[in-house]
Amino acid sequence: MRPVNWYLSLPPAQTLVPCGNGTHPVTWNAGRLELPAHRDAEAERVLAALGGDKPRCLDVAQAWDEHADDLDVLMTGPRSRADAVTVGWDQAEEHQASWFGLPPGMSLPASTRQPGRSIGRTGPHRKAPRLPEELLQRVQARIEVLRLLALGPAFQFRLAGTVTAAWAAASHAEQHASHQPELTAALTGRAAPVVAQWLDIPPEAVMVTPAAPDTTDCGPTRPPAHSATPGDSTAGRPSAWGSLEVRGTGTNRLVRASLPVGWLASVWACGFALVDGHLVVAVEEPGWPRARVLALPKPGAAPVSLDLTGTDDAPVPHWALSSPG
Amino acid sequence: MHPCLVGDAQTHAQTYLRLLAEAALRPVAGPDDDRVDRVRRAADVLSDAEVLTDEQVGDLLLLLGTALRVRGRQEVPMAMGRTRLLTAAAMRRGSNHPPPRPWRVITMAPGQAPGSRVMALVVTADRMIAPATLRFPPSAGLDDLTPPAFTDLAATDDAGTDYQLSFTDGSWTGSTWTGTIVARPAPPPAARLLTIASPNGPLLVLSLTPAPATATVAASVEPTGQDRGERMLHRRAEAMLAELATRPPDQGLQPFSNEARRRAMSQVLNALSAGLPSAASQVPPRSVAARSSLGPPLAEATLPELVAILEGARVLSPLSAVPAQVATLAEALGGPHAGAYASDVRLPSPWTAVLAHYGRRHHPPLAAGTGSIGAELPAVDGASLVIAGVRTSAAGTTLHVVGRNWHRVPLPGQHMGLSWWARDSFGGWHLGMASTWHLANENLSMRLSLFPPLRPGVPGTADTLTLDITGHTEHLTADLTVHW
Repeated sequence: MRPVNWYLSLPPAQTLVPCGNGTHPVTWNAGRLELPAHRDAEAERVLAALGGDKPRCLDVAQAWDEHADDLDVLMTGPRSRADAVTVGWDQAEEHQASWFGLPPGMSLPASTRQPGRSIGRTGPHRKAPRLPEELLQRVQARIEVLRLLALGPAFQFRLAGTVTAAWAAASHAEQHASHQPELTAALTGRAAPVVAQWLDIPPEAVMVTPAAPDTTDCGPTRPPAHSATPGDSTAGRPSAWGSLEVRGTGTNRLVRASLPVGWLASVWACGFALVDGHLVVAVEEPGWPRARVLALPKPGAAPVSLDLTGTDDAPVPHWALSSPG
Repeated sequence: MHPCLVGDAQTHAQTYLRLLAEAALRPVAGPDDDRVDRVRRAADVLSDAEVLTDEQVGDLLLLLGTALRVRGRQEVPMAMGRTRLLTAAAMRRGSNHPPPRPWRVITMAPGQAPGSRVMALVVTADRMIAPATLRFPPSAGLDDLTPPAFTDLAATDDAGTDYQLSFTDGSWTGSTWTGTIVARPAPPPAARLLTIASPNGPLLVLSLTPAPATATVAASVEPTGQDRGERMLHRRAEAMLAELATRPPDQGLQPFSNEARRRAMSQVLNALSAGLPSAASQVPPRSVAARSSLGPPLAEATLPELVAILEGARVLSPLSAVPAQVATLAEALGGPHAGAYASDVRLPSPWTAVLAHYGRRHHPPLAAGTGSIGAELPAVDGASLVIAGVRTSAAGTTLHVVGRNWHRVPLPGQHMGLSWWARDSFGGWHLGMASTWHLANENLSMRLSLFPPLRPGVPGTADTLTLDITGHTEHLTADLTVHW
């Protein structure tokens, strides 16, 4: 089961995709990719399967679905608001043509692939490796990820949220152990800059590992604030939201934290990892433009509930404490 | 058995590498930022140590390259990444092969006449593989510097079968060629004698029936007892020793100028005084052994970085003495000061034996000779090996090996995952370093340079050898008899 509500704290987003002879809008709304210019997308897919031209918008939507649990997306995509990932449509097509510079004899023409077939994912359904197709399919998968990144920063964050929400779902819980390296890197790569800013330490001093999978899915069903005691965070013992342990003093501090993978979807991808000097560790009530989160005011302190108000901004909203009353 | 790691150790290594990649993707610190190249070096090290597969490393480097590209950063690791991907492809293609068909080893009878001779014959389902020495008479009119073309050589047997001959690259020392002959097809059961002839007459006549005195090889296989990190450091030390062996004579051991060098030298002197084999050879051949073993990974990662990577990936214990041994060896060979690793470590005796040999200023001339061994060994790390024989000339000693079932198809610059040491009857150690290899179907013909070389004709130094082959998971010891 996919988390159903992590995205409630994100406003809709829209971009333009070169498609056919013009450009078409592609929108993201409440966790779904929509193609307003292709009202009967299914019919167009059938036509494409019968040999007609496939509109790029449909390609994009298909790639979005196929990479919705692709951990490679997290390796390529942004780590923070300041981490600018820039891919143009021309660039993606250039890679399609050049196959990342692999020897021409090694490349597999795109036309030989079956339309609509999922390829090269690092996700749980990855097939047993075969050569040389498997090698080339992995390259093709990278090209598809580039096309998705070409949708722009707002979509990049939303795609990362989609992927991490999938991995936070109960259906992926059993696969966490075999993907520990990817999940640890995804968490550390995104949480470390936030914690570093929070504590004024270098990001290299922060490591975040995945907390035990939460089989209840990420989203608003976080534990109430009173479930965590002040001792939980400093001792490094896992609490319901995870744990955070600080060793050393001053700028020599080292942080070892443990957060659920769902944190990336429900907190980081929604833009409120760090609000008003608080490290947000969970979401109590998602929503746009108002949400309630659980946040640490400082290391060792008990998490507190905060009511936040968002301002629409690209790529993700800015959040601030809600005014009293 | 595939000796690549599984489970927790591999997870630690992958996590370590991915966290390095995350650090490399953070905003650039400055023009001298080395973080991206550090990822590549760590990937190379962990792949070379066979902690991670080439495929895992290639995948990550390709991803990192893409991530750098979309950030407008330079893709330092991509060239290596592509190479590794292609390596992974070759690996997998190899792994899809059906199990190789049985082979038969024909040991050559002792007392073959001087001149051209075969060390051993490996008969597979479709061919014969014969490491051999071919001596061409002066009347052949061959240039001392240019090996013959071999195109006019023909092979037939006494049952009337004609064979197609091919030759791996070998060494040519003026009138004598040493390498591997491949004859196709496999001989029929009725064939008893194979003749290889040039237009000037027969070069080689060999029996296709096993020598009656063929003895079973005494060999044992045990767990290696070393972790991956220590194995890799040992291989690095072996590469350094091989590099020492291929240095010009006037660039042997450097003068010892500090405490660590004195420590190492004192061990060398102790080894000498303890009666390790004296003497030996001309300058060893300018083989590619050192280059093959060092390769890009080892050449680029410094020892402290290498140790940090192996410890970070949790494949080397912080309490291991091997880093200090390697540092001491490196310093003894003219490398940087052992620094933080300096301690009163004792070098393994095989290392000091090689150091002792090449520390001498003068080496007596070396007699030439070809020795047949023809020993089929038990599998080590899954690889099946036949030790065909040895050839010593003024250029050094080469051990000829035919193998199959390698878990990793070697590419130029890659090691083959095994350490080779031979011990002679006097207790003298000889390091074996792969110099060239030739892969045909599932069979790999390999030549290893032995440092220091064997000395045929000197009793007790070359007639029996104890061969130690160490892989990632298994260690093989075999007692071999050499028929010169």
